[in-house]
Amino acid sequence: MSLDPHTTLARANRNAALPFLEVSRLSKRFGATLALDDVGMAFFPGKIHCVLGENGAGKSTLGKIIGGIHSNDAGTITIEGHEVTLGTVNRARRLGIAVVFQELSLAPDLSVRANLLLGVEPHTHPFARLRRTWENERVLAVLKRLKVDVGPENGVGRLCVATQQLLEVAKALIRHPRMIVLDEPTAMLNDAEKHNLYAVLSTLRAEGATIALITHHLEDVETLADHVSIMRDGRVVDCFAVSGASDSKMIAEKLSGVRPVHSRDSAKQPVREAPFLRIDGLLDRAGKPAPLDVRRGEIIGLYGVVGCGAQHIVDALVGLRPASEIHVTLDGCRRVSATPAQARRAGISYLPTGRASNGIFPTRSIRENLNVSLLGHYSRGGLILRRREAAGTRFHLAASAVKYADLEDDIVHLSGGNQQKVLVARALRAGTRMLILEDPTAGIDIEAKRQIQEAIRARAADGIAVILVSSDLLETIELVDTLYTLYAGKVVSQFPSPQLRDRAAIVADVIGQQSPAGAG
Amino acid sequence: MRAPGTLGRVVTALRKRRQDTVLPVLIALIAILAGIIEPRFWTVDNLLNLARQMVPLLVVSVGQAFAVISGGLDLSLAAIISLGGVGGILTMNRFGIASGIGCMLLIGVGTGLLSGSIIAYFRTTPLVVTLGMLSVAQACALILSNGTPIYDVPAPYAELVGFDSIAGLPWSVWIGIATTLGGGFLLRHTVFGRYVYAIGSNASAATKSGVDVPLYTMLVYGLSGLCAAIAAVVLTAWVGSAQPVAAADITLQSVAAVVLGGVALTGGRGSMLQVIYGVTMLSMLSNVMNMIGVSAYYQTLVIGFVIILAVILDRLRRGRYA
Repeated sequence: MSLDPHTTLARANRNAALPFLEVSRLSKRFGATLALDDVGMAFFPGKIHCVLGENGAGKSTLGKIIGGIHSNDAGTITIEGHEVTLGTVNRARRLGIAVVFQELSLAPDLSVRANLLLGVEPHTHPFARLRRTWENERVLAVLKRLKVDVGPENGVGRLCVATQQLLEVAKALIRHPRMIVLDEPTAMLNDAEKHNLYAVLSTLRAEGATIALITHHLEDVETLADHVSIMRDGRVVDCFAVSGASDSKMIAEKLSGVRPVHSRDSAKQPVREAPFLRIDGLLDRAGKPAPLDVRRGEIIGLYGVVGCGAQHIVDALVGLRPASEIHVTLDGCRRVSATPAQARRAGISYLPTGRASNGIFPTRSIRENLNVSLLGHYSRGGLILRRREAAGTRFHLAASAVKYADLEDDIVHLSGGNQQKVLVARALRAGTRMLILEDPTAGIDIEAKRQIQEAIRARAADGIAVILVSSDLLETIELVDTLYTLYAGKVVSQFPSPQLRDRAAIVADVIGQQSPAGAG
Repeated sequence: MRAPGTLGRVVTALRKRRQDTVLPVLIALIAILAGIIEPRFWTVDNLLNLARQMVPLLVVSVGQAFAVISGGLDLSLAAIISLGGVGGILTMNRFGIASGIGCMLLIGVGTGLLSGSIIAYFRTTPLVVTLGMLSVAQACALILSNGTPIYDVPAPYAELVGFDSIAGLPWSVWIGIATTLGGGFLLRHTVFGRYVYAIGSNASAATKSGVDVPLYTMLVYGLSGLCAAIAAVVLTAWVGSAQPVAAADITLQSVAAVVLGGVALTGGRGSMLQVIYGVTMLSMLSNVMNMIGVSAYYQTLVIGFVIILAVILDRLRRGRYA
């Protein structure tokens, strides 16, 4: 089909009024890569426009141009028919555009209130007095709308990533934008939080806001999309209107070019042997001990809402915050990790959630980012063997299908999804006995997600105990052999082969609806 | 085939260095201009003198660079020089030259490790801890020396380290070169260097990927202390005395030189080459201004402007959002 943006736009124009914002022939180059190549797209008021595509397809770049973070090299942007130059965040903001970025951009030391109102303080002059009660009302209203249960004076840095993600959305909403661009807003959210956000976005749509949703999740598209654009390698390859959930299969096919396959190996036999990893000291809801066992080759999942206690267990395992009540037996030996460095030496590797704050080294190269936990392989007596390191790096980047221009480029030059692939590769290789993975496929496209899931299974098959803590229930169910649901620090149920189980039962568990008696 | 690989690497290296071309060109320009205004600038004597003047700042800046790249700052360096000098010369007079030098180095490493361990294990900010250490070390130097300079420096020591040359260059210059090369080697080719960058770039990510952040932070300040001690060796020999308040300006000058060279004050980025650029720039400016008779007051003014200008240039070069 013809991919000329103008015909697509014309087609869209027929069934709606004037677009609120329209980009045409947009191009943007970063060094050697052409991130956007002659892109045209129109966003209509009262519609949700989903932008789909693989990692590095240019989705986030488009969002950043609309948000005024980057300026376009070529092409035009019009708002309600008038050509505009966005250029800076403030100008975009004044024109009514709010962007929720994929990387969290909250100030960790400031309160929720200060974060949400940053930049919208009513300033007639720089030393104008801040009216706290007025501010609190606004903040509380938006928090209530998003059903976020935090006080306005809480420090943001201590909140979990999912809450921070919702606060990002709140920060955009509090400005009453006419257009809101969300870049992967559901990546860190669990089912309940996600549906909440869906409801909020639907209301905004009904109120006539223009919404652009950049996402990898078909569920987002199924639930929300009015228009869908699919991008690949910086170009718009398809653009169509959708109606209803029946289209989801068609979208998946268009997106990946292949039918979605369920790659779960059905012939896999549960291994029956003594547990390789045992975590004692946890209790179930009746107060009885509930040990967690992981056998060689097994993947277990911990699933629960924010504050369910999964973080506590992970912190103890990794040595971030040792907990006296939690006892870990690994391969028959008692294990106490006092620090993450100690844990790593024992072959325990950790992939934390929050790529920007806990994962990448923004000022360092792709090579250094990949190898920071692996220097043991590439050094002798503290000296780094550069040639061996470079060769190994190339090999592993290729194996993980990372799209990169030069090994020595700063990692921030990669798209978010490709950064995540580097981090996963780092964690998978560093863990020789135990892997603890938090949201391993956050912000990654479907094809890459499948690759990563396969890589995780392969590591488990090597005899490594894998613990998965993911907010993505579908992914958890698909990946794990045993799922433990957690609620308020207690183990609620154990679901062997959860993929055969009812999703509703799992969700009921983690929101505390299940009676203590019924355990799977 | 080797040739394309080498060529490729050279091209890559040149592309990387594109960031670093402004300062060397500026340095060359100033050197050429200086030669035109004052022909004496290009005499061997003056260049040797310039090299010798550069050494203390260069050595201290190498230490400072490690602290800055790791995301910190070391404000105690000048005080460590004073304490190391006084303690070392006192020891030297009693137990001989070698033990004196050993004592200086030990004092440097010891104070550095002490600050470093407090920063690392109590999770305190380097700024405040090294500021405290500045006072402590300075006070110890004053107490040990009773507040008066110690002129009783063994002659062979002053002769050898301060004035003798080998292969045409003074000993002190060789010490400066060795320290810089050593620093560059540590940064580029060792696990330690890699971790220093990682910690400065994102300490939380470093911790969570299993880097022993407290250990390496401690080592960083041990190293900056060692560099201060090396500067103490050079200075005491050159001046022929141990001053209780030696080179008071050198700490801030080292921060200036490091930043001027282009090392990111926020950590995680920078190289020894940049440190050399920064130090050369500052030292050459004051050398030239001395020769053409600019008063000390105006020299300070000029250097201040140069530092501010360099930071602005650096920002512009890296773009708005880098």
